[in-house]
Amino acid sequence: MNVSRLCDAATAEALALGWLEEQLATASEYGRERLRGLEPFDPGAESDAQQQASRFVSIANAAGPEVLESIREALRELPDVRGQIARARLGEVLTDTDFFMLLRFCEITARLSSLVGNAFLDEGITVCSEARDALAAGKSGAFGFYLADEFDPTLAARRRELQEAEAQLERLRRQLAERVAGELQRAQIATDQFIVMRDEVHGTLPSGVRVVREAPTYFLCELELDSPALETLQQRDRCAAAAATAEEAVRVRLTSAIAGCADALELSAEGAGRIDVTVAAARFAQHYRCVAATYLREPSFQISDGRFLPLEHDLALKDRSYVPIALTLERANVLTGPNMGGKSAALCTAGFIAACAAFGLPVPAGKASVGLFSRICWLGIGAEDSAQELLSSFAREIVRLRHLLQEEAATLWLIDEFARTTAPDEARALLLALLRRLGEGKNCALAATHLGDLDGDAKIAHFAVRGLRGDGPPVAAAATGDALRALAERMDYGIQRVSQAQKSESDAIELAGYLGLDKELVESAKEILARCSR
Amino acid sequence: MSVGEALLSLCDAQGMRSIAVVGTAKNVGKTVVVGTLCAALHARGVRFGIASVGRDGETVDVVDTMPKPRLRLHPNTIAATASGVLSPSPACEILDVSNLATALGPVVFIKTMAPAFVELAGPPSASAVRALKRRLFELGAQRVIVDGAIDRLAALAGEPDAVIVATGASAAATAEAAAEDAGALVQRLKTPAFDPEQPYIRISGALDAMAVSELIRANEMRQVVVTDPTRIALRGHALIRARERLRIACEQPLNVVAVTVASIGRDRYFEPRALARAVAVQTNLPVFDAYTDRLERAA
Repeated sequence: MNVSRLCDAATAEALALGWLEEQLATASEYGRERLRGLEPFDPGAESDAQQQASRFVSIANAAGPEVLESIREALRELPDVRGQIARARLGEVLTDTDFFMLLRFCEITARLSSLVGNAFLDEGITVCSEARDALAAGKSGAFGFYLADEFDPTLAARRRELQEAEAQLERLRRQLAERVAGELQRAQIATDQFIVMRDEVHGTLPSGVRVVREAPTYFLCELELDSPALETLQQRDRCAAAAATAEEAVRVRLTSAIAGCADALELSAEGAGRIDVTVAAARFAQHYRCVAATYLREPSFQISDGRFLPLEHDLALKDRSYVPIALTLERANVLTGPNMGGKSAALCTAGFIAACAAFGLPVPAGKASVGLFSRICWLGIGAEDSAQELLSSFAREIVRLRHLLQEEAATLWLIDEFARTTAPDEARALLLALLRRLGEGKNCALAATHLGDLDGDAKIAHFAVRGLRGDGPPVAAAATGDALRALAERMDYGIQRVSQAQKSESDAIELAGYLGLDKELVESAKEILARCSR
Repeated sequence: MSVGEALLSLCDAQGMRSIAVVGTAKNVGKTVVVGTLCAALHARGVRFGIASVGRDGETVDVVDTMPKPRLRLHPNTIAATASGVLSPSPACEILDVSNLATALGPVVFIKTMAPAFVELAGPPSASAVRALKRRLFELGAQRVIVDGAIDRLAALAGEPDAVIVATGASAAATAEAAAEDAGALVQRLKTPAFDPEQPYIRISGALDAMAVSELIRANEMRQVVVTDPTRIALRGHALIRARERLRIACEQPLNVVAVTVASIGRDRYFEPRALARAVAVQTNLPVFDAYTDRLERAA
């Protein structure tokens, strides 16, 4: 996936788009390449994106997981033959291993073709029957390939001659070895060179034995072929050369046949890549209960039951549940709420769903209407540029913002605690100014913050996480994991539109207590807060 | 009984379906021994598979370009080798192309259709060798021969393989030294399995001289357990001393069944009977000489 066309590395990391790519892992090399080259849809291409996402979802709904898995199994077995096709085009004679792979490719694409039909995929895969037919005579067993005699009568004849010469030579050699072994009183002569101990020889060595080396106690010997055997050896070598020539001639012919249908083979390979990506997207939709978003022509965003899948996945591993959220965003929006209330998760949910939609993928939501954005930008926590280590946190944030503002494109801005490291009054002013700017043009922005009084501007919509429920179960703070689980039960992660100016509640002191901070310290903080409020 | 048949009988007696032949050095007759095993299996009518750890059966030594014995396979033998060393003629049946990579291309499984000289080249990792063996059995081999290398023996640890150690005149300057080296190696490879009922300390990684010194200094009385014998990085006297002072054992033992000797070396020749006798004494295993077609046992 060409994620870099949609967002920079910091944003991709914040939105865990690497995780998304892992979930979309394809089964074949063709699919991998196609997925690598997958581009996001630009604003204006809403109907194309809509069509693609709907197709993925309809396949996910129509084909069972086992059907999709059987297609992936076939794709996994599909060999990558693009190198063979290219070499055949260039006139290089292919090897038997190459033919094996090409034949296997043809057989599997034929299997894929029927599987794809059963899985209600509207796109087929071209089976290159020319290549399959050309190699068919070599098929042996389930998938094996042999340069069989059936390819060419001359090859069959040359092999027969070789076989006869080989058998004749073997017979003569065996006769010689058996005679020598018998005369030396050994079971057999099993090696090309063999040792005869002097004290085992009574008289002279048997005829047909050549001494390679003499030592005080032994002779190192070889069998010496006589004239008829040498003539047979020559004949065998001539036959071997003729058989090799005949085999190579068949390879040349087969290579030429492959080169002749190279276009069709490449079409098959492309089709396999397309199917692979389609199946991967459909599986993703099935597994994560995704829907096709309705694509809007405006830079806005409405979701219900939206989920940030990487977080949902991590929570599930810890036996904790994820609470889906609903969001409706237009232009500039601000989100406040308590610590640990899911503000950052809401930003991630929006970004993740927008990214899925941009690539025409099913989105993890109950329902979603999403505009296409040229860019998704994450600003704030999690997007610090380590290349600018000599700058302060605030300066790094501002420098990043300056760069991001330089490009004018339809952008989804996700802003997490912007200017959190400076004085609250100035931070509020900066954030308000930024949101006013982002409310113009083709942007949609969501800023999560603890700064209050940000809804004085009519152009900025204010949302708030509902926060801690007063009537929930008591929180046991003995172990952090238990405390987090209990807190999650008391937290209402729902997001509501706040119509009037409202002071932002962070519940920070209460949460600190729940998380096991020293009781005295917490009480002291509460007193200070009460005094300040008075 | 030929040397190949005698070696097979030894493996049969221990119920080993696969046999690994490992050399103590280059040019110690490993390929010759493998050839005799192939001939014996062929004579029995057993369908077998063959694979290599590293490169074997080439016509000339890739290091010094001297001629080497070649591995001639009978028809209907299954072999695993790198696609890059596969001879085009006589053509073999290609049974499968694996995703195991070597420097000479992916490993290809072939079946010989005619008598053929085959060069074997296999993957370097232990897990890959295990995968090769498994696939050879899946493809119909009843027995598997692995032409191995000492440093890749880990691939065979814990597996039901018989190990045959090959040594010869190329391994050392004298017959005595070659025999001593073979003895030390066999002793190392025959490290016994540990007893989980008895106290033990597990060593992760290699058991080297430094680790042994520490253990001796600490007067370690428990079993000192390594994963497999190849993790014992000690030779000669250091190994003997370590064994005297520590109870070294392993989780995955190897089954060394025999030693073969080649008195003909690249640069020197040893007296065949003296070499076989010395090796038999040092290893306390049956010693076979494929060149003299003899068996030697320690008295």
